[in-house]
Amino acid sequence: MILRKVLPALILLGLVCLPLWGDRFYIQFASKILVMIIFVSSLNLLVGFTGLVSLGHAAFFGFSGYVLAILSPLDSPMNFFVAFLASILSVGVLGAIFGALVLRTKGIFFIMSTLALGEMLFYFLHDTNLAGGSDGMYINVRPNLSLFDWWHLDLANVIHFYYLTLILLFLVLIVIRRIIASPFGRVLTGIRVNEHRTKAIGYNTYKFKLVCFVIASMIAAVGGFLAAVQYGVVNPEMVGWHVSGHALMMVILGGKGTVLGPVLGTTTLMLVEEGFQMLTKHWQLLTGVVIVLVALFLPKGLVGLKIFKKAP
Amino acid sequence: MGSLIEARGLTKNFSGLAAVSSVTLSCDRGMIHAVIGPNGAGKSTLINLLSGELRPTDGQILVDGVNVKGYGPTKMSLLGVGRSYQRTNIYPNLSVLENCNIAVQSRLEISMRFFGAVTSYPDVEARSKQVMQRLQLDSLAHKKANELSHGEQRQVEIALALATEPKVLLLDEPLAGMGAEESLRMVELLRNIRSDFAMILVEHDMDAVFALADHLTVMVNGEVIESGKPEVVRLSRRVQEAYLGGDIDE
Repeated sequence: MILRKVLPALILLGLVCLPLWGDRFYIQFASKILVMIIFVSSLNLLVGFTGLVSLGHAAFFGFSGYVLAILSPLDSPMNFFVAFLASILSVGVLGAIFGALVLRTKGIFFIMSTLALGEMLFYFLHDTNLAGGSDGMYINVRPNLSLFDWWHLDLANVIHFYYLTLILLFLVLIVIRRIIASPFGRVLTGIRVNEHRTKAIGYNTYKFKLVCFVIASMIAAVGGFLAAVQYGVVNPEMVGWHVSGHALMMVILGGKGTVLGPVLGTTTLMLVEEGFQMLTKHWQLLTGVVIVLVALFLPKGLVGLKIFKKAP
Repeated sequence: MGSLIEARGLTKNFSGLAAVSSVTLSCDRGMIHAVIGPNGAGKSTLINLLSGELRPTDGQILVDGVNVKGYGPTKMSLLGVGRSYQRTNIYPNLSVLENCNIAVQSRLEISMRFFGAVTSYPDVEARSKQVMQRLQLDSLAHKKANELSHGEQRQVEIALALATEPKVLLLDEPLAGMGAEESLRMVELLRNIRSDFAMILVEHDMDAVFALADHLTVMVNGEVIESGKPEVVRLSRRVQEAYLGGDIDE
């Protein structure tokens, strides 16, 4: 019981203190995990809370980075807030267009059409020279994050970037939590559990799904923006279905339909992959074993583990 | 005075086959209009037409005088036409209260609010409690719907419709699969709420039909063969033929 109360505080303390003892590589790796959690949580809003399994979600993650890369001048930094808003809003528009199309389909056809749109964006970026083609684009100078000259974060500094990511992740998780607990979230639950009846009791489910789809795409854009800032480069692979599939695996591994699930799933899978990569070049085989074991013994994902169960 | 719901010459063809053919009926508040007929008579199709789940091939539906041509189930619901399903169609892994909450919330303009918690809208739960009371579900409020007995799930089915505060209630075999005791209970519940709605009741249980109906329509092969007061209709020769195995196929 005490463990349950103390553990979250300890984890938070650990996350805040991590840059103090970790070396550069580990801080970067931790940031990478945090960014991924943002993206995976946004996918979970669709898959876990609304019952919409998308294989094209990376389109929004990658496109967000591309917006930043396209807007960034070659030799001077962009204002962080302008770049951030521009990325999120452009992705919101893209999400509305994609969503309006794919949400006309259901079930397996929904999965296929999200996959198709995502791949269309991939080939568009890959095969045209509008945004660097297959090489992608560089962000030479990272955006400048300062408030009236008295407070400044250097985004090229791994520690500064880590804290920015940590703060944004917490904001994202709070936003998702509130959406789920809101009247809007209640309708999403209705759609997930029984869309037919939800329509019959007077909800225009298409509208609700579309709004949810746009919100999820914009949260994915937060992750994509941070990923682009972290590496200073974007490439077509960022929008590819591999990224979507990987994120979907993390949702399921952690436990879909819970706020904690993507946090656990992403952290575990990324640590496991990293660990196995150090051991052997056949790391994917070992990762597969872990996923199969979780699927067999924890059908609800890692959140099904005893320590995460709510006290009665 | 027009009726709350009225169908005129309603027809539905499925690839040439007339599942419902030129059916005319109406129902007003406080009245129960029962529709009976052998399997395949088109009763469920009729309910699906009246609730907007199917589009008629021909004919009109008027709800409180409004021609609802082209209305889907969502619009019909918002207009005040509630329905229940023959096969229980509820939110199985949610509590009875949450089932009702979802339905109640559809009448309040709060569903596009993202940030306030549902608990900051106590109105929803208050209305759900009233609905549960009317259907004697209040003691089961916190039980999951899929843990209830079949009869109780059928009550939740009706509760979802009631929670949307309809003017018209379309009930598609509310007694389906129920035992004798559960059926009696459901008949009693329907009797208690009847005064507030125009009810169209499709049902196989003749005891229930004769206990409840003010008006009776008999359908065979998509057509209305008789319609009128129950005590008159039951004496009709054509109806007896249809039910007792005359010339008409079941």
